[in-house]
Amino acid sequence: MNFKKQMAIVEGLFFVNGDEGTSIEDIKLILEINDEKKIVEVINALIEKYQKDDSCGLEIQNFAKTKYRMITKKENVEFYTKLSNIKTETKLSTASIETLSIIAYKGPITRAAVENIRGVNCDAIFYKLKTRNLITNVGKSDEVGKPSLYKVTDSFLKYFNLKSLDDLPKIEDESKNEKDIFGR
Amino acid sequence: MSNLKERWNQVELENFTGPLDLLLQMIKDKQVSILEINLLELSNQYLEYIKKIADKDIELASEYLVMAAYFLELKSKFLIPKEEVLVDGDYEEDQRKELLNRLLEYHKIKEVTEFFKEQQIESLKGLSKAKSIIKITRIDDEKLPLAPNNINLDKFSKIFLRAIEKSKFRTVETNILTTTEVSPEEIANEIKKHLIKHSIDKIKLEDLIEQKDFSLRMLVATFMAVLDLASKKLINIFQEGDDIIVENISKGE
Repeated sequence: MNFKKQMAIVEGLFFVNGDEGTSIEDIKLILEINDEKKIVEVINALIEKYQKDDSCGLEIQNFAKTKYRMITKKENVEFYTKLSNIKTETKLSTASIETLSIIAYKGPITRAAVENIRGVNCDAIFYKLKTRNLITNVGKSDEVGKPSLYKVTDSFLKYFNLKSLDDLPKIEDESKNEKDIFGR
Repeated sequence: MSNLKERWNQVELENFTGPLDLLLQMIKDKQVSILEINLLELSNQYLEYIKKIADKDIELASEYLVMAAYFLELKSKFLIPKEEVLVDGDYEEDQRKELLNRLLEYHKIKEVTEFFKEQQIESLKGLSKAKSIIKITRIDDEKLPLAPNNINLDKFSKIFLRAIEKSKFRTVETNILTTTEVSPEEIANEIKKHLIKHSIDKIKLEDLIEQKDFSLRMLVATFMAVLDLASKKLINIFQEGDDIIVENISKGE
């Protein structure tokens, strides 16, 4: 099978899998190729093709390191939102984002530890985030009562368009922060 | 000060994600170091807001109340004459440090939420479609590790509901709590014996539940026992019209 044919099949696979995303493992299975490097080449060629072609309305989003998703080009979103049947995802509240960022930076973490940082009960927010599959239970802590530990999921990375948690901005060191809050 | 107070009165608490958020904003607006904060004044401000929102959202208010109480505790500790707390001389400093640390920790998180908000807005611009359904994977009945399902689950649950309804009328003492422990194993044994003793080949599940003491109190255990017996191939469960039939297939061991 030549390279172009492989591109075409992967392109179709991205379309078929849609929102759920396609992993390199999926492509290995479909193309019956075990060489990850070759697969990445095919994907990158596709990404480049989409980028270069101004008459193409789609792009490939890479998230969670080895997962890819076909989406409409972001610059065109205003046109699509004219459609009344577009079900836009409800944006997360500030409180949810705060909770998520704590879990992203400090996970695996217990709910009590998150609550301690935020100074608020996070019961309902945890429930919502679990329902949206943005966080997941990854076992029990050794603390008294064996509370559950949580971390963020691949859906979290997809939602915030991140390749991995390494993409998160670094939290500044404390001494600088201290000045920032209290030195004004 | 009066200016600040005026400003604070316009602040809606809904704009804050929690008491620490509000505290952080207060400190920023006052442009003072946390080490110079008048805790009593801060507590008073807090209480004012709490009064304002208590009618609207008591749960929200309670979070802030906890924080206000924390300030008051801190303040009262600071008011204790130094000589008397010599044994615990560092306590005051420790408390301040703890609050400071909590605030710093929280502030760090606050600083990055902007990043997430921006990423969210950007990310929501790319629309994608749901995964296409190509084929529904069908596994041959023979390959299933389970017995073929010949029971309509809706009907199955309805039968249980009906049994519960019936037992409600039969039992007078529904408000008496008994704490007899029942185990599905025991009940499974009893069901087995019952079927053998009365040489029952087939019986409606509904009727079985109503036999003896297999009812209400032990409904869950009975339910599990029936499933357990079925999995051990001692009984067979199948559907006949609107009824679920339990068939005794044990060889009378």
